[in-house]
Amino acid sequence: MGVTGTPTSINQGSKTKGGIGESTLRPDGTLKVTGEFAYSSDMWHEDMLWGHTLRSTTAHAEIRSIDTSEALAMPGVHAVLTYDDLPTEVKNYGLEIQDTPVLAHGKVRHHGEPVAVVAADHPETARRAAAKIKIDYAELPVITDEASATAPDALLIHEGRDDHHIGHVPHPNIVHRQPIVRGNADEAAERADVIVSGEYVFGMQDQAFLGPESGMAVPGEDGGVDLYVATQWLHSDLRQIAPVLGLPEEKVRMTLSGVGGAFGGREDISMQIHACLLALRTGKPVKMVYNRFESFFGHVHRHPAKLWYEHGATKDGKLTHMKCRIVLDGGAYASASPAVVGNASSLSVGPYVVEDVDIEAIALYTNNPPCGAMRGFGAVQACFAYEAQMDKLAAKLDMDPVEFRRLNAMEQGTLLPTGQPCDSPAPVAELLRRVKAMPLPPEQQWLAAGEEADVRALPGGLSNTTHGEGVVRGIGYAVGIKNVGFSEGFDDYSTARVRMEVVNGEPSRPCTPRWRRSARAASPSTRRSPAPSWASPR
Amino acid sequence: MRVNFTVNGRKQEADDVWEGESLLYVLRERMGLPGSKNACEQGECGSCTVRLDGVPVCACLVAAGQVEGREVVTVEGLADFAKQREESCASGACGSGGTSLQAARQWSAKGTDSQTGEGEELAPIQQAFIDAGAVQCGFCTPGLLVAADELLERNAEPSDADIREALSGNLCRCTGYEKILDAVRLAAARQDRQGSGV
Ligand code: FES
Ligand code: FES
Repeated sequence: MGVTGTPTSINQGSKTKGGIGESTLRPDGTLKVTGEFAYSSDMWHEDMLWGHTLRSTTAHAEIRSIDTSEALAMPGVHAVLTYDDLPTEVKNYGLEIQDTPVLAHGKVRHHGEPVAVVAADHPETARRAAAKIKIDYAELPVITDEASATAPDALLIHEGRDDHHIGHVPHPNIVHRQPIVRGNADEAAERADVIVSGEYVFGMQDQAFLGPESGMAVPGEDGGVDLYVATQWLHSDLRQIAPVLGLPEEKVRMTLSGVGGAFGGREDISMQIHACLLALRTGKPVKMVYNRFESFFGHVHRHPAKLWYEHGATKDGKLTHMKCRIVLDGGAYASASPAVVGNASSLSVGPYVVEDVDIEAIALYTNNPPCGAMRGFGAVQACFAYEAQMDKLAAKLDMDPVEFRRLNAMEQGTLLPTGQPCDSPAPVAELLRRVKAMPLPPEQQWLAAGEEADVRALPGGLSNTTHGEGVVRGIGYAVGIKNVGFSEGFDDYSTARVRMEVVNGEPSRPCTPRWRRSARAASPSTRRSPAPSWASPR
Repeated sequence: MRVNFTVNGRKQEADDVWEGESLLYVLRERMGLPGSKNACEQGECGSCTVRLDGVPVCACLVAAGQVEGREVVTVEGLADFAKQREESCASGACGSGGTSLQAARQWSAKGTDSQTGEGEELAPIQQAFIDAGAVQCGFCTPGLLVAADELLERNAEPSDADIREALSGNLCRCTGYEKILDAVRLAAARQDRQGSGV
């Protein structure tokens, strides 16, 4: 029933030189090894200002007042903007739900929420000016988990929700709920010889891409703006940026600059709108570069989760049913939470055959930092829990944990919990066989290695804090499932345009790569940054 | 304050430097050499690695004033630096000269193949990173190149443990490091083959 063939080797290669599937060198490799590749943080413009964001120091509070006068009066400061300075009626943006204020209005909902932005002629001046802004916060009770989010007297994180999920959620502090029921899990449970259930807690994680958020906005003569930015999704950014600037999309000209990693963390807006606002206000190019500390506030994280699972199995090691409840903490703003809920629920069974399932996944609104896209996108949290369950089931049945997984492994043709048949190869049992066959390092390595051993090769490695004497080795196996492309039957397509030209009778590649057209390349080559205005003269 | 130092073989001076500025800031924002990257500004990631009087350092942790009168090599000057090392080793002498700042600023793959490095003067370690597929987003690459080049300078046949040790101060979030190890092994092997005249 497959639509694709069964792979026969790791690298499928191509029979045609330059054809699809051939391993090829990076188009930008040379630029990257010479230091010439222009990342968004490398932008430079004569006359440019540095932007800085002032973020809330508290997780949930009313803003009683903001006083920017001292900051504005500092020499070298060109602009200080707050909510009141936003140029148009649209003041919120968001990937799917427009619930995120460009700058906080009357209330902050999480620690690190942007409240004001500053432009100055030196980055340190901008930081010092931001520190002079006085904000009077009145603390509100914080919502941190399901119990506090859905308590009878819980404050609503977002009042007056009118998004398309609100009609399907049991409480306004739940962003989205996705149940999946197939077969009859209660009936199937009666066939089980053993039943195992457990609750699992999964912490927040960060993408920690190496190049922090950065970019430069250059005001245009037509009242528009040119934005050079590292992002995962220019088109989605543009749809969110233009309305809050009060500009038509064609007046916001976006250029992708060099991207220093992303892993999901650049699907959302970070400095884009703030830099544009400052550039439009000051009439000067504005560069914003987060430092590592701010970067952790500057993008969404992987959802922390609480997961409850129940599995049953027969004596001969076949799964009978699965029930689960997955509670994801989406934090203060929706970001990609609805899609992450979809993934968590539709992949919650893992790469196993289970006919009877009863699944519920939800994402909460809380006062924690917002969560969204990060590699795995809901699939990882579920995997952590169902794999722990597999080990517990195997132990209860007195079976080898790998053998137990192989007995239940999905394959091409298996129905996923949504009823979708898996129409491509899924060699789960074979993967497990190969992993199990891999050799393990010797027992008591520090003894086996002998006197002459290179300590760097022993457990403890370079840090040399142990050679393994106190290290206990545990061996575990786990396997997971993740969709390729978008999830839940999303209409996922891509297009490509190919242009060929013949020059002097030879085929030629006519296009200039876009990454060469950077603001940096267009700027004068001599740089003279001013000294910060508060610094002592040389 | 004013700071005078040598960058990639060429004497430079930076004016109006605030005492709190790092060498990294001065290189990137005042000298037009943004090849060294700023990823943490706290000595954790190695993206800003440069040679300071020959020693690999985190440029983010060096105050600009500390560099007064000293010599810095950045990724922009790495190809020339490696070439001169090779030439001076061949002639049995060691010297310093280098790339003019102007030349380093105008470093560009124009007129060369940006994919294969062909036509571009590259250090062996730079070519090996391209060939081994050790570059993904590339943000860690400048720092890794400077560190790896220094390793190969003092140890022509590094073991895997040597490579891991030398690069243990450099973080990469994309590659998983395997291809980076491949690249250093490849550069060492090529150097070895050249050295033995094969
Ligand atoms: S930027 Fe210097 S070590 Fe990370
Ligand atoms: S290639 Fe992206 S961090 Fe190393």
